[in-house]
Amino acid sequence: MTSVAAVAKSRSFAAWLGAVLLGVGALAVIAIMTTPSDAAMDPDGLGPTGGAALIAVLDQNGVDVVTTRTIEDTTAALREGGSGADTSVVIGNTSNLGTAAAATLRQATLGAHRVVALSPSSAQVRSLGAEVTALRIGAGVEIESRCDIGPVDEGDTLLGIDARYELRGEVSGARACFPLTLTTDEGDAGDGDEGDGEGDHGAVLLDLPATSEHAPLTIVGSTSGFTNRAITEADNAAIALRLLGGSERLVWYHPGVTDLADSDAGTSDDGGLLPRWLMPALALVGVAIVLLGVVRGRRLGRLVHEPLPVVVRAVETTEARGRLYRRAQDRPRAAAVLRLATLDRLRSRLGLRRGDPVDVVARAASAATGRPVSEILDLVSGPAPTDDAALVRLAQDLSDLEEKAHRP
Amino acid sequence: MALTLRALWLVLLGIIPVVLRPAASTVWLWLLLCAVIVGIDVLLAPRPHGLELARTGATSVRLGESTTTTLLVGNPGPRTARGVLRDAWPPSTGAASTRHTLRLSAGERRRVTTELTPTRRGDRIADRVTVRHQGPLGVGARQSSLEVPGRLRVLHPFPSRRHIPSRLAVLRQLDGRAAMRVRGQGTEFDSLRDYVEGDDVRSIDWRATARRRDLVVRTWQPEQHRRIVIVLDTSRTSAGRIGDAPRLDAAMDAALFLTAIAGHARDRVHVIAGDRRVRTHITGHDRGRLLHDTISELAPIEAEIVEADWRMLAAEVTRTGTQRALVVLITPLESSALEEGLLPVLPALAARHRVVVAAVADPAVDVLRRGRGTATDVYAAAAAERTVSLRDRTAGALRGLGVEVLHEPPEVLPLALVDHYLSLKRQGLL
Repeated sequence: MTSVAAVAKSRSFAAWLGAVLLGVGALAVIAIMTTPSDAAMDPDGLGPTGGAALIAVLDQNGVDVVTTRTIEDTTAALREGGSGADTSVVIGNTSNLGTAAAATLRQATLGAHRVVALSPSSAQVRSLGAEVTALRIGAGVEIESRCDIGPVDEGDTLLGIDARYELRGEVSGARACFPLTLTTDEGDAGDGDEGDGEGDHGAVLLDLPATSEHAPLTIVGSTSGFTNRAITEADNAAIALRLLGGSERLVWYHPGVTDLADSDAGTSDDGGLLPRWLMPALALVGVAIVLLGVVRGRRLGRLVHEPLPVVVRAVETTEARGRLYRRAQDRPRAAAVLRLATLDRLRSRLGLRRGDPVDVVARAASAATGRPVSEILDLVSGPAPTDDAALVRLAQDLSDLEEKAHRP
Repeated sequence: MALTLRALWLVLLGIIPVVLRPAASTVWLWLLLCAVIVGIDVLLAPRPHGLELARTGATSVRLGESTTTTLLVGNPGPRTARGVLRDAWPPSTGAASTRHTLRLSAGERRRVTTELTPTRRGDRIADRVTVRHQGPLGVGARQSSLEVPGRLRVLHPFPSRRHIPSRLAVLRQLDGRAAMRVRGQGTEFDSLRDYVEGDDVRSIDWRATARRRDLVVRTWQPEQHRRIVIVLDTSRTSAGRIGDAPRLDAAMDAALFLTAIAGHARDRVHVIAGDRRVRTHITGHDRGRLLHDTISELAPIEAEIVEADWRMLAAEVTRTGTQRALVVLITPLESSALEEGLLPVLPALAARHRVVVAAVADPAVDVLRRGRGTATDVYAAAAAERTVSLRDRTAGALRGLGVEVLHEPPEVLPLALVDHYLSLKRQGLL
């Protein structure tokens, strides 16, 4: 009995737990689905860190902007455009750009007008075909271009820097803008030479000409500078429009998580933090758990059945008849039965014969109890009670009368 | 075949090679090795069918008492048999512990005893004996279930047997072994003896006195070798429970008590139990044997959910003999069942025999009758009054046919029945 109750209890507990987990899970999924992405330079991002403002302006200026979120879509979009020289590609957010995806992109953009990467890492740049050292910095200062290349004019200022780049080795035709110099080295690093100025700390923008390896590549060490919030600061908008609006078509590539995963699979996964034996050991433990079920589940012989007898209480029929009376509200019948029974008992108690009429019994009972005959007659043969309370009262009066009536 | 927990540890031991050589193939190889080890172990385990099993022990027990059943297990094989043995019985047999560890060296025999405390009357058939033999390593085992027949008959507790001495004393008074030696109806000639003062002068045998020249009186004893036929109704109405036990159990108690006393009084007793068919018919001359047979034969009988065929039962009563008998019908006083089944056949039976209807009363109806608290109670009380009045009507109809009706609660009915029997005997009405 107790074990059955315990099982039922634990089952209901499990059901509750399941319901709660399901609810929490559903809420989490809904929350994830409805939360707008706040990744930096998200092409659909309308928040402070999004990049929709820039895209809208480019769109108004007649640039055909195609936004893509996977490397497959990006290559497809490039193929669609005939990989012509009128197509530019911008990697709006490089945080999810895997090296494999970057290499694929390099291949796909060989004939493109320009490839712009916002704040890529060294590895990403290498995959894009150039040898550059990237150094992360965070600077809220406005810096001057000190160069005059196509998209950037002398005197342009940029606010919001995330990275600086140093060119490794000699690359002919490479130009650096927005050089970073120590405050003591002011006035150095003139415009447009190799990018390595005196006491140089690299530049924010590197413009590399096309080679056999890659299309013209512009590396900009600023993502935060072109977000909805910061695009209006300094000359950020002008730089961005000149940089990205130089062709009829612009593929805005915002790498998704899958692009990151693809690249990682080949390079650094199996050398991860988890010990290599963990998965096989877990498999072994899983087998052991299944085996535990087999070991414990094997019965020592079959179940023995018990031929059970019928269990029915003898008083069941009487109780059922009582419920029937109550369901039918059959007060007249109940009262008549009770009165008949009382009369029978009074007859035997007062020494009367079985067939004696009611008034004889009433008179004898009156003599025995001292109560008036009319009252007793009313009790044993009066009108039937009209409600349950009257029935209860009648029943109590009848048993009261029986108790008082003894043989005179 | 079966596995043991050791097999589990063996599999988990595989973590060591897996750490040394972390690859999926290590897992497969290790599992293969485990399977081979378990397979060899199972093959090396002795066959359970090779055991010699025999059952001894009690075949019957009174309900409420404990007994044991013993399995004699012999290992004729050349290897030691280790493992577990389960002697399975139905749950209501109340086996204390059915699992026994087994360790038998070659050629050894051993007793495995299971204590049984049954909780219900009737026959309990032993289920199979299951043996699980471990291999030498204890990782695998062979398991088989073997038929070792066994039956435990759980007898009626016969609670009224404690009243037997007092009723036997009453019987001895009647019997003439005590003071009563008077002639009268229902007595028969026993012997002649010398007159002592105080003897009834009417019992002087003048003829013998003339021969002996001393006063000689005849002594008398109650009639013997009367026939008592007890009919137990095992139909649906007997299945109803009063308290914890079905009505049939109380009816059996009364039947057993009457059988015991009537046997001592040297009356011939027939006990018939039946509903649509005769379930059992017990008779015999030897009174000790008769009671034993009755207890044993009634033990497995349960009430069936069928209507009683009184015509058939009356025919069975008639078949016991044409001589006048005391016929005791033990049946619940359910008006509808009796009025349609028993009443039509009763006149013929009552004309030939003295018939007593003994019914087990339900005290719960009396409790319901007195309910006055709420409307529900009063409706139930009205229903109980209705039941009682229907019952009284049936009892009245039975009495109208010259049948005595005893209607008593379970504990009182056996006494009432036997007292009625003794009073009939005293009056010589048998």
